[in-house]
Amino acid sequence: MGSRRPTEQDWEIRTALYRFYVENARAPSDGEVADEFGISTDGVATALLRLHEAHALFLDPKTEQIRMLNPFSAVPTSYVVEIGARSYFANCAWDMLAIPAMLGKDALIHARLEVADSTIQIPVIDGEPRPDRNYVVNFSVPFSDWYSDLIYT
Amino acid sequence: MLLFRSEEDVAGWALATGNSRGASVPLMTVWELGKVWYHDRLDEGFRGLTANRVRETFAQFGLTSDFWRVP
Repeated sequence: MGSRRPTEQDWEIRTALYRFYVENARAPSDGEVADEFGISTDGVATALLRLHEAHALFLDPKTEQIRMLNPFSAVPTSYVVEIGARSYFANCAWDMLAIPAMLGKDALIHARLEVADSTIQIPVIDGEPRPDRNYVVNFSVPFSDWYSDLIYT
Repeated sequence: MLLFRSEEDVAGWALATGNSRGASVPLMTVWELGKVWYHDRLDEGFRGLTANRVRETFAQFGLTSDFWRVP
């Protein structure tokens, strides 16, 4: 297979994945990517693996399908960001903020609140979050360990 | 990363669950951190985050304790 570093085409695939997710609020299938780039699904899987190893996306360890296109989640989570008619899943409480920040869009964030065991809404209006109190985001894992178990992180 | 009402809630949660208390950051700081961290994620030229960039980004927001150390 040669170098495990992403190729230029891998990076182009990465950009296409993000653009697809922004437009469709889901990750594309390997087949959809293969059709767009004129390569085999095996070629897509290999490209995704190289991008995963470069921390450019995260594959589910069991299915080897895309699990995270940070800040987006390809699986349902407790953090949902409504932007216009689209609803995006975020990976965590940081990423739920990062989605409207990255897209430069106003939003309505639905977030699980720990301890209180409830869901709250945080509107993002005119480019700023408007929380109803001074919430905190807890990072339980030191940065040096983030990538050893990204799902837990 | 989880959302809490306050650092007191984090402390109670850590005690009850046995999880590490870790580091708590105000929501608005995390918002600004996200802007910097992800600003070029959709760009064609994005080639990943370097250790230096991560280090500088954390420092920009005062995240300089050992918890935020970049290997």
